[in-house]
Amino acid sequence: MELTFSGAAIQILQSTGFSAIVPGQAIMLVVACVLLYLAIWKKFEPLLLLPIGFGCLMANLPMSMMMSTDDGGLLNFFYQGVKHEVLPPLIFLGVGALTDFGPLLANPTTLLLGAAAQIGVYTTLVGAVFLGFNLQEASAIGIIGGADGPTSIFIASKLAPHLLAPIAVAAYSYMSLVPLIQPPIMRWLTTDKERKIKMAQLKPISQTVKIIFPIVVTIICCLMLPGVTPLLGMLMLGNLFRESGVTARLHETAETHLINIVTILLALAVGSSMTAESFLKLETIKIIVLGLLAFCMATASGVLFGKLMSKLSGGKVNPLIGSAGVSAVPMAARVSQKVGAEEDHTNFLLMHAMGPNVAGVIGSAVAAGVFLSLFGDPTAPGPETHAAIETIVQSMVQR
Amino acid sequence: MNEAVFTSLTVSAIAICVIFLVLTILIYTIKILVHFIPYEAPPPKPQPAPRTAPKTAPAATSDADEDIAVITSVMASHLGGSPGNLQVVNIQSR
Repeated sequence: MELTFSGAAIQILQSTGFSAIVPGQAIMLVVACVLLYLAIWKKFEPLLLLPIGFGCLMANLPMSMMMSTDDGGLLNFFYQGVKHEVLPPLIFLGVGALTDFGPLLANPTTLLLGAAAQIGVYTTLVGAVFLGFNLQEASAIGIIGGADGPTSIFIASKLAPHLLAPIAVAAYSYMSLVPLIQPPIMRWLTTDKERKIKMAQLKPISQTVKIIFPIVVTIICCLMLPGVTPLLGMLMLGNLFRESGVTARLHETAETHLINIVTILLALAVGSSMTAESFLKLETIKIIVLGLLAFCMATASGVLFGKLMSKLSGGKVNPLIGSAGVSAVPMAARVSQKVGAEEDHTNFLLMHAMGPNVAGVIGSAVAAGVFLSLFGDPTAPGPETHAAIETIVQSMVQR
Repeated sequence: MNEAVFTSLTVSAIAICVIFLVLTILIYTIKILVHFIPYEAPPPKPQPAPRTAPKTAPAATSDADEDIAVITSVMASHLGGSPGNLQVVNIQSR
């Protein structure tokens, strides 16, 4: 092969990404840098936004083969974990291992606050349909109001995979903004007197109840809503690791190393799906706006239901704990504590707010299960086999 | 559009009812569990036996104070330092 100096120089130049970059990719590189800036310098959910931002950065470098759709590319392999719904349930396993259901068991009526906060999900569903999304897409957008990243990704990958990237980014961005979004709504909907309500100390719960609870929840919820089994089942398995006391090593792994590894894979996979074609659309702006609406409505409905419970209980419930019904654990509970302490610094609402907070996790999983029951097709064949896996299977069959 | 919005409203109403139903069932399940398996405080741990005092002479006595003062001054002059830099912590009688 004959190669002149100028010919080689041109060939090298043509093989660089600079020659292939298109305006959409350049814009996405800026978006990636904004996400990295928010994660590193503004501390917006850095554990998630940083790998999402970097995944987006790599995916939009031309000829890098890092897009989620690039068959055989590294991040395409990671994306299989989202596509085949493996990674979000594994995150839930870790969340379960980290979660103490004690406050919820001590005051089980707070489960209703977790249910009430899901009203935000359905308000947004109606809003999304009004803006022209179909019911599956609207469901995936509405679940942002559950303030639960893995659930949002799980539902989006099942019902509206083409909207996965903007939904995941909106969910995690707004989750990081919970301390900014919630307090004004909480103050607006409650009176000074209500915010000063002190709640009775929670009763201790038997360890046996804590062990039986995840088993019972799995049986009841998964029989009623089978579609939610991957999420709720793994959440409860993680919690059983924690409470059983006989799987210390599994519990430790689930709550530390496993959840960290899966977070990296999940966030990179989501980032790799943030391509110009999937993200730079009018739908993205609509989803961002609807996501904010979902969070606001979820907070408001939780607080309003808290007010109702306060009235019915004769002032024994502080309505501020209602806002913790969105499942951003434990940030939403901390916000309830902070707003309550602003009125009366001797009022400690944190443990009371943890009840609705973990109820929100169950509530959003149940809401996801309802969507899957209504719009998911359990008889539909699973996602097609990855090209690499198909090759391996074929070679095994030939042998 | 109107039909789609109406459908979404119907879906929302049904879904909210289902969520409240599931979580209400859980509430009563928890109440039953807590009722039948009440919390029992763990039995108090046995207190560790008090340590026996070491067989040393009480250092607070006046004799002991004198001994300490003498030993400190002798050691200080032997080492060529100040008595303030030395501290005798224990004197064991034979």
